[in-house]
Amino acid sequence: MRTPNRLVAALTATTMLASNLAAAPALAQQRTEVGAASVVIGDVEFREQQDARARQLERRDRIAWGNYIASASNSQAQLLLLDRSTFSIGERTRLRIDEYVYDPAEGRSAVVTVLRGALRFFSGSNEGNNTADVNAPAGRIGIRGTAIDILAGEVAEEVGEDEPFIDNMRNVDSDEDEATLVVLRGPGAQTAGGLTVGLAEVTSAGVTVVLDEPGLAAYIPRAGVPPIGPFRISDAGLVEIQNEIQPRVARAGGGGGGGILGALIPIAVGAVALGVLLSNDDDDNVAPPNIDTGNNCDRGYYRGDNGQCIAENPNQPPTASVPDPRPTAPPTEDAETPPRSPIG
Amino acid sequence: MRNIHIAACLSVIAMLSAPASAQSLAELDRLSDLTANEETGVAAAQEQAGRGAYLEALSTLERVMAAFPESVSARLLHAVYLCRIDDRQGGLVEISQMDEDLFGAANIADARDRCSRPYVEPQAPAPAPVARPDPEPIETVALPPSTAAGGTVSGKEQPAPVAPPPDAPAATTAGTNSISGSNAISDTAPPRSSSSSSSQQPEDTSGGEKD
Repeated sequence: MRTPNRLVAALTATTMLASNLAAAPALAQQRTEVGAASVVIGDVEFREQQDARARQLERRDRIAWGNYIASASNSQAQLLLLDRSTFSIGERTRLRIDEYVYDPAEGRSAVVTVLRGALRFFSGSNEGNNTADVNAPAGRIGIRGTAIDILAGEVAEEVGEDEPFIDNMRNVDSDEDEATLVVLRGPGAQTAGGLTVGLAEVTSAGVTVVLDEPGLAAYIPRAGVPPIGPFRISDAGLVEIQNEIQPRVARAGGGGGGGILGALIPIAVGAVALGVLLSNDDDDNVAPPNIDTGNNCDRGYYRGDNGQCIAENPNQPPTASVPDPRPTAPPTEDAETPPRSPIG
Repeated sequence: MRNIHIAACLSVIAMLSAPASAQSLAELDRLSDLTANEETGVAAAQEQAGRGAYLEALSTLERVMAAFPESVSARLLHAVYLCRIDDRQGGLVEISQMDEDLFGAANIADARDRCSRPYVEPQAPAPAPVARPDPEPIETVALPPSTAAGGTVSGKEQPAPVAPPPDAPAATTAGTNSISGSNAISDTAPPRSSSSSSSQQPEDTSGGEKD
């Protein structure tokens, strides 16, 4: 009874192997397309395979298994995958798509390798069982339902060793090619939208560090040593990571003058109102929107979508006020009047 | 043998899914087309956030920010949506990078305030308040003012508390919120990149952008 079974199994395997081999060239030509470049800024190289001829990546280019992507300084790209997960590729980053399988009913699994640079992953569809693994120079990161930042190589060493938690350890010997820094960004337990709470497992040298809260980080100084962490990333570290992933935003300024925004000041201030921007999913049942149009409504009113001043809900309990950090006007004869809160 | 099966299965999956993938890839193009324009990109992110797809909305905004790094709307929303997914530290750090002259002090304060308190899912519009019938005189019990209506003393009549968030902070003030208990977020600490950011030359936008 066992022989026929073995025979059937062997025949099946042979048939499948033959089919697979026969299909291989066709598939190689057809490619297994798993997504598209959704934005490309600057010099971003794209290769079908790592040793293939490189060309400039363009928006709408299809991304397939085995594709190799490398960005230059002040360049970035985002890959949008079929389940609407995204990999944001920062400047001076090298990435390879090793594997990606997506079934809308079952979920998604993805494996990518980041060789160096900065990578941000946002999970897409919340349906099914979704997993992703990122191979980094010094370890492996398993992620679930997550927003996560990963730095690899020199930039990881720079940011990682500047972290107070790492700096306090003193004898951390990092390798500039292998250092890996992982930061979980969310969703956290208090996420809106019922999203899957994020989790990342950072593994190296047989040791796994679990990141299960936004802001927790793990650092692998070099291959063959366990991850350090979890520790809470510093604000300064987050800024550095953001600048690596969004170099154009960092260069545009907004954090201390200069940059191309300087000429846009009058437009910018009058062009946007956060309360209006958030009107679609707003939590204004808690607090009224605040409008800064350069012509604020009086206290007790807020500006509606059409620009009109609308009385706040008289039943609205007072919310916390945030002091206006702008320099206050010099005292006038009306100095006894209480300062007006910026919250309308 | 197992590898052969896996490879074969994956091959079949790839072939079977080709038509669906093509359709989905076209959908991906449509999404990326939306973010080739700042306004439609921001609107798309708002729509995604409106149905709770905050990670998708953040991805959308990052495309907008890449193409339009000067987009005030995209950057404000990005910071607030980070807070919506409970990355309050990340959201507040982005807000701390915003120049008041560019973003508006009130907008920054508003964003910081929204990040400093738990998000409350929007609910169906509350029905118009209906005047309750006066309570029976016998139920009227004279209470000290400090114990009425939850103990709020403001000199004004306060409405009865309506389902406050269970863990809502008693007061939210810039700089006092903490993330996961241990790390206080400083709104005032100057980020390391400030100097580099301020020292950057105005960006040459003539080259590099591909879309």
